[in-house]
Amino acid sequence: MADSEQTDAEQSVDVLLAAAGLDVPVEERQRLAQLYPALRKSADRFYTVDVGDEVPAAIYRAGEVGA
Amino acid sequence: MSTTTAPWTIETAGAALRAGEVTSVQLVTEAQAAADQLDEQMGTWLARFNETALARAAEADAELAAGNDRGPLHGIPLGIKDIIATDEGPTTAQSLILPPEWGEQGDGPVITRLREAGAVIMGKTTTMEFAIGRPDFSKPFPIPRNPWNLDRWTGGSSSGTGNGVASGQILGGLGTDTGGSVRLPAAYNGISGHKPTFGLVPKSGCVPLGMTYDHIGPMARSAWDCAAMLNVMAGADSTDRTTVERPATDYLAALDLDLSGLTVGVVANASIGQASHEATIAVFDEAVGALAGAGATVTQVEVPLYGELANGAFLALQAEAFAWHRDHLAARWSDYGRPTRLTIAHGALISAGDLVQIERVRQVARRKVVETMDAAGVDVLLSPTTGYAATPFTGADPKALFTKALHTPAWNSTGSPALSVPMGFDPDHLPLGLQIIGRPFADDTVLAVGHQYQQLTDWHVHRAPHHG
Repeated sequence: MADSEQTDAEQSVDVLLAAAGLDVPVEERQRLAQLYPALRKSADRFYTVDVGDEVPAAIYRAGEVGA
Repeated sequence: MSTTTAPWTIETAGAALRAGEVTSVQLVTEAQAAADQLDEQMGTWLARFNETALARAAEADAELAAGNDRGPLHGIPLGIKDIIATDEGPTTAQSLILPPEWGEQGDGPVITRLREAGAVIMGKTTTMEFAIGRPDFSKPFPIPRNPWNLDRWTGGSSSGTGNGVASGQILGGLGTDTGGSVRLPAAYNGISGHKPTFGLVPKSGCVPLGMTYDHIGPMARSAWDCAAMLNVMAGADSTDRTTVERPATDYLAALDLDLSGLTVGVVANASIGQASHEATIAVFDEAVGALAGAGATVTQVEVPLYGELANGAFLALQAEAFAWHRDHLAARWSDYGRPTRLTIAHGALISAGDLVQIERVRQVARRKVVETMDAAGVDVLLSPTTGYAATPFTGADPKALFTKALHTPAWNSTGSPALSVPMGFDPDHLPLGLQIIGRPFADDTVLAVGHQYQQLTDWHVHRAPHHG
């Protein structure tokens, strides 16, 4: 089970890094893959919080083009 | 710098300047001598502006002699973290990556304000690469070391400003704080450091890390010194759309606070104790006891969604950093330090939906924190700044390296003001920090509590073994 999870993590990391245009050496890809399940678990935890219809903080002001 | 037992503070140096006991040229000359003596072993500076600093100090002295007093920062030597551009240049972000032309933009609004207040810019201080990661011995940059023990790190990422103040090479300076990078080096080096409310101080002219988590903040010996700097730094600017138009606050005037009318809430979440050394908790309890002894009412407060606020800061800042760095990472992966590139690359592994959800939780949590403080009737929250004192470069207790041992990032998510002040020492005689957290834009209350604590204690003026 652990091996298949690791394989899944490596595959996911390889795909995501490639999609981002990053050519990462094998050893460092493996390091990121080792950490990926914990990152995924941490991110998934945010979906368990009841936020109702809350909206993100990013503000879009039509017509404002900055300084 | 000072020949007395207690090192200079901005407050005491300013009083001496006005009493004619010292000149700005003398302060700057002594600071430069301290840097000459200490920099090679301390790793404080990436660039020093000796000639322009001395010229500015001479101008400051002439102005004072002519009766033109610009205020508490007049003639005071300050250091600037090298992710903030200044006219003298260069800016490197302690990286091989940042294009030289980035630093050519010159002073941002905070630097302009400090200069107009009479401050003397001494140079650019060391950081972690792009204000993230840990010391990287493989890159051609100084390794910042702790003046309390050179085998220990300064904390980061505002490392050089932290050890520069603690070792007497500057009286204050600027740091930036995305997950604790003002407060962590303040705690590790035994000085004070304030992360202002998000939107209070403009960030223009600063290399971004996590755009919605970044703050520029003052670092100095005391809360008084930080308040003097914040008086100058605060205020909206059109070049930073996240700044908020508000009536000006006199943070120095607000320091005169009666603790007997105050209620402080000790952050009671179990993760604080679980991720702190028992010696840290003992010192923290003494600090809380000092405030209680001066009349403050103490209560316990469970901060809602505390873990999400802390984890969200780390996840989202990685995504925001990745957005800024993607093209450079793709083109020049190996020119980044390993800790930096791996941390930022995590941002490529977080989905767009994840980031939106983190932001939604952040909004809810921010609201709940204020509601909880209101319900408990507390003016400020308290926690240790970090669970452990400064870590060694090798052989650190793994628990001290966990991100959970940093009790700072939750307050980057909320944008709350948070001050770290020295609260004592661990068994190895390394400094520990007390973190004081307030409601958004209640920076005056936070600084006042820190100042009142420093009227009860003298931890902030202890002299490190390596001091100029």
